[in-house]
Amino acid sequence: MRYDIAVIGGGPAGYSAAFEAAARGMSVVLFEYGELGGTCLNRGCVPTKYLAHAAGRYHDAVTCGQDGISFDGVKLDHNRMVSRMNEIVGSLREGLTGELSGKGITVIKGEASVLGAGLVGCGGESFEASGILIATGSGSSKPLISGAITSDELLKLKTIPKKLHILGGGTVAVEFAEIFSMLGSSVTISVRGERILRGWDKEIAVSLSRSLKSKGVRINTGCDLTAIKCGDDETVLSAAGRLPVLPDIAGGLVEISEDGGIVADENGCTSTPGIYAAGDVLSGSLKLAHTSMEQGRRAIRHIAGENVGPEAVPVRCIYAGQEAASVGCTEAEADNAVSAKQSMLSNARTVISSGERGFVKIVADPKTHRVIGAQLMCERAGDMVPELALAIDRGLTVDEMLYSVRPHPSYSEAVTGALRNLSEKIDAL
Amino acid sequence: MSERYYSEAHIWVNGEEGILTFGITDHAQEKLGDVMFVNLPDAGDTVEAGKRFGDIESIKTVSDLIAPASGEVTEVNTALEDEPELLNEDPYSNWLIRIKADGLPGGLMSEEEYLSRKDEL
Repeated sequence: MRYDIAVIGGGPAGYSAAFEAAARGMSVVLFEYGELGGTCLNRGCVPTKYLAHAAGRYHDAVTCGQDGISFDGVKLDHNRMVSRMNEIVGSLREGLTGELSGKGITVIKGEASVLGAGLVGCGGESFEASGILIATGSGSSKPLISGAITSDELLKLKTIPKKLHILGGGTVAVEFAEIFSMLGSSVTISVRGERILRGWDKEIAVSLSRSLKSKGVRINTGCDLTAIKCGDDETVLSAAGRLPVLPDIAGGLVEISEDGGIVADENGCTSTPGIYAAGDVLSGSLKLAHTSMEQGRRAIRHIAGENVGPEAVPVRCIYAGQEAASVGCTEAEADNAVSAKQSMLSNARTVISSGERGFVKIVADPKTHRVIGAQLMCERAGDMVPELALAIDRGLTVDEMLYSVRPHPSYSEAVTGALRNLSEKIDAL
Repeated sequence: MSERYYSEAHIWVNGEEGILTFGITDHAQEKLGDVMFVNLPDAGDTVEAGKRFGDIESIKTVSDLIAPASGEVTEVNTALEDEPELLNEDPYSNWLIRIKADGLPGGLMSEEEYLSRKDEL
């Protein structure tokens, strides 16, 4: 069988590439050995955001007395919650399946291997394709201690653990700590370093650490995670990172890096022309679904011979009670930058809803006045950050961003506040 | 304990054996109001005289912390991460950071001079 594009992996990178190719009239075959949607839809982004939403509603129900609302007794049926989570995941997966078929993309359930340039094997059959995209994603690394579970298993638990001990301090650890603490678990996080979220802006890391502690989460730092002794009544989550998952690839076709991922350039080109890679399977991958989607699309544009252009600036988000988001660089990372902050304590919408401390911090180049970074910790940070990403990608200046009107009362007004503070600082230089 | 000197940015400095300690003055904490968060560098970072080395957030405002001297940060008062209100309680015992520096920089005020000029700074 002959196709223009063969995609191995039906997660965000794979299905985005398939849609991009089909939109250009290319014939596409997509191989998936598990469930369409990959980690994101089935075991990651979607189910965890559902649990965060449901846990947040339970938390609201038990804390809305200050709004004059009270209940006789709020019940929590975790089984029902997990069923609802599975319903939502199932419905999104059905939608994706229908959309793939609707666009004429051939989906084959099976484990595919790269036999050579332009040749994929699956279930004993061979498929020729001018372009091959490897998008097989990543999996949880092995549990750090015996008896620990991974996030895949945590999502399937039928009851809420009374005690949850999380090994690791990255976004997965922090999000689960927030979710299960809201659901009533007694949560402990143990990390190797001196604080959680080491790869994040220090202010976000320290702020979220404080926020978690104020909710009763214990954070132990400077730990040897392999030597942790956990109680019999503790559920232990090993959240120490994810590793690329590679399909069978005939020798010498691609270069595999020390981190186990495939080496590719910014267009997904590997060492063999016609063989591309995108998503979590890449060496040095940020392991973000939206970045993987963009990479899948870029690879197809490159195969189509189009001018792909520079990559969009990556955006990272944490959905933990309040949200946090980061795009571009921090002031500390830039050679010469100026930053200004707007506190959410004076933001009307924030005072109305949670009254929790938060901020919008924007970083600019003092010479060009262009916005080069932003770090946010506030409600809806994940929805506010795209505006800053757009500004950075388009090289907008502080004044150009200030020109636009943001509604009142909204969380996004804090962007205007931070920009005004930044403008004053630049003028004073 | 060696004598404290003051910068125009309301930072107090004292030095012992090549290490300078920075903190904010009582006047500063009073003007700030209830401190909600203190953003400080990490040990190993470098601070530059006259430049921002962190900031303090209060209910009212966000104020940059301006370094009175340059040097490598040796110690950060991490107690302020979880209890920033300590700065309101006692801004002189609750220092911010310590840096490695060769002596005190010029241009600092004595306590007497600072107290007489603090309102105009």
